[in-house]
Amino acid sequence: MLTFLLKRLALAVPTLIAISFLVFIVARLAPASPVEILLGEKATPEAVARLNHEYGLDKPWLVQYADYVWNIVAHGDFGRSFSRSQSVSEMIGRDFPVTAQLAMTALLFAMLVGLPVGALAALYHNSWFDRAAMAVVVALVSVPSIVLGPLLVLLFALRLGWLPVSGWDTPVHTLLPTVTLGARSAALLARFMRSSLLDVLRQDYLRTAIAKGLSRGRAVWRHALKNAFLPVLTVLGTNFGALLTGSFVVETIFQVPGIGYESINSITKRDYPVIQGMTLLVAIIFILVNLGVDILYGVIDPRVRSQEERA
Amino acid sequence: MSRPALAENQDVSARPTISASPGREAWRRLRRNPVAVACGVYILLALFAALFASYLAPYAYDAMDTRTGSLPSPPDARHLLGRDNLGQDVFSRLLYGARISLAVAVVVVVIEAVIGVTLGLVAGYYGGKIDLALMRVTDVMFAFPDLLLAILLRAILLSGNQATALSTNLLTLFFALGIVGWPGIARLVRGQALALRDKEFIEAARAIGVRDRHILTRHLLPNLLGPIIVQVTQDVAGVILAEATLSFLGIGVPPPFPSWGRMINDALPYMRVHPLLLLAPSLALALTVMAFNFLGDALRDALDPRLRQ
Repeated sequence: MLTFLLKRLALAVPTLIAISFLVFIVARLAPASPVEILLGEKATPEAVARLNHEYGLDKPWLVQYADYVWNIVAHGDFGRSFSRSQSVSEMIGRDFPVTAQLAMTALLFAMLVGLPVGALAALYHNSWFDRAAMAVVVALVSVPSIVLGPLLVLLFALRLGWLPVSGWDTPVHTLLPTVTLGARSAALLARFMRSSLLDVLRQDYLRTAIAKGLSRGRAVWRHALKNAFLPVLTVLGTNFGALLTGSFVVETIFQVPGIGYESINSITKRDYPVIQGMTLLVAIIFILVNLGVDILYGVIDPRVRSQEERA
Repeated sequence: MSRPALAENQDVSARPTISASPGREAWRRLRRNPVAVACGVYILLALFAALFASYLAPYAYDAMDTRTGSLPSPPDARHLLGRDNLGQDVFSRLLYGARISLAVAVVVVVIEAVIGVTLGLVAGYYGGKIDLALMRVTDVMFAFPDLLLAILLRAILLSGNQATALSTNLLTLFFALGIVGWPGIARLVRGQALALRDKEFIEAARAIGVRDRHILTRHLLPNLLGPIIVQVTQDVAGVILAEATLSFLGIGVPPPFPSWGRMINDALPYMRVHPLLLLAPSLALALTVMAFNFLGDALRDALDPRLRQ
C-alpha cells in the first residue's frame, strides 16, 4: 500500500511543477509587460525601472519562477491584483468557496441523476426506458452549457417566472447554475454507469450468485452495483475537473461571484495575476482530485494496487 | 507460379466474393446507418452555407440596417430571422457564423492532427526515452482540465495595450485551441503504433531494409487512419464548441465576425422579448456539435463493428 501511495505521489509532483511552470511561462507571453499595464505608455524610464525592481521583474526569469513557486508554497501568496488593492489569495479566499460549492452541488446532481438512470438503463437493457434515456444522454452530451444555460433561464426564469435569472443569494438561485453545470456530467455518468453495469451483468460470478439461489434483485444490489461503480469512480475525477472549468462559463452566464466570474472579468481589466493565480489553483485542484481518486481506487480495489506494485 | 498457389486461386474465385477493401466495407456500413446519413447531410448543408455564405446571405454580416423601428426587431419580410441589437440581419450572421465555426474547426483540427499524429507515431514506434519524454509532456497537458489552458492563453495573449491586429488575434486563437487538442490524438496514435510495431508486416519491412520514415508513413499510418478519422471527427465537434465558448466569454473570434457563441452572448439582454435572437444561434451550434459527435460515433461503429453494443 505504501509503495502504491508513494508511486502515485511521485507521479503527481513533477506534474505540479510542470503545470506551475507552464502557467508562469504563459504569463510571460503577454504582449504588454505588467509594468507597462500598470503605468501606461507615458511612464518615465525611471518609474518603469523602479516598479520592475519592486516586482522582481529585473531578476533572471528562472529566479522569478522560483520566487513565484516559493511564495505560493510557503506563504500561499499568488501575487497581487493589478486592478484592485487586494492580493490574489484574498480574492481566492473570497471567491473560491462559491465555485467549490457550485462544482460540488453540480457533481452531486450529476451523480444523483446520472447513476440511477444509467443503472436502470442497464438493468432494463433495450427497453423503452433504456432507449429514451440514451437518446436524452446523447443529446445532453452535445448541448453546450452556453446553449443550455440561457435556454433554462428563458424557460424557468423569464417565461414561467419560477426561478431568479441570475445571482447567488439564496438556495433558489443555485438551482439553474447547478443544473446547467451538472447536466453534461450527469449524461456522461449515466452512459458510463450503463456500460459498466452491462459488463458486470455478463460476468460469471453474477451468474453463479443467481445460480446459488440469490434473487436477481439481491444479486444486483449486493454484487453487481458495487463492482460496476468502481470504473465510474475514475471518471468522477476527470468530471470534477470539467466541472471546475465549466464553472468559468456557468458563473459568467448566471453572474455567480466565484473564481470563474472573477477571472473572466479580469480579462478586460488585463489583470492577469488574477487569471494566472486562479487558473493555477484550478489546475492544482484538478491534479489533487485525480490523485485522490487514484488512491481511493487502489484502496477499494486491491487488484489495481497489486498490479502497480508488481510493475 | 507454382501449382498449389494456382489451385488456391481458382478455389477463391469459385466462391462468391463477399467483401472489397475494409474502407469500402466501412463506407457501406456507414451508408446503412440512418443517423450517420442524416448527420452527413446536415454537415454538407452547413459546409455549403459556410462556403457560399456571401452568395446566400441577403446582407453582409456587419451591415447595420437601422431604417425602421426599434432594435432589435422580430422577423419581417426583409429580415427572415429579424435584426439584432445593432440592426444586423440575424439570418445572414447565422450563415457567416457557420463559415467562422467550420473554418476555425478545420484549421485547428489540422494543426492538432499534424502535431498529434507525428508525435504519437514517433513515440509509439521508437519507444524508449523519446516515448517517455513525449508522454510526460502529454500527461502535463492532460493535467489541465478541459478548456482552462485555452482560456488562460487567450486571456493573456489578448492583454496587449493596443487592440491586437486581426491576423495575430486569429493566430493566437488557433494556437490556443490547437494546443489543447493534440495530446488526445498523440496518445491515441501512440497506443496504436505501439500495438502494431512488432507485427510481422512491420518486421518484414524492417528486415528488407525499408527506411524508418517509409515504415512510419507507408506502413504504420495507413493502418491507423480509421481511429484517427474517428478521433478527428469528434475533435471537430470539440473545437466548434470550444470556439463558441471562448467567443461567448469574449475571448474568441474578434468582432465584427459573427460567431455563434458571441451571438448567444449578445442575445442575453434581449431574450425575453426577442427569444429568436437566442434560439437561432443556439440551435445552429447544438445541431452542428451533435452532428459531428454522432458522425464520429457512427464512423467508429462502421470502421470497427466489433465495438458495437
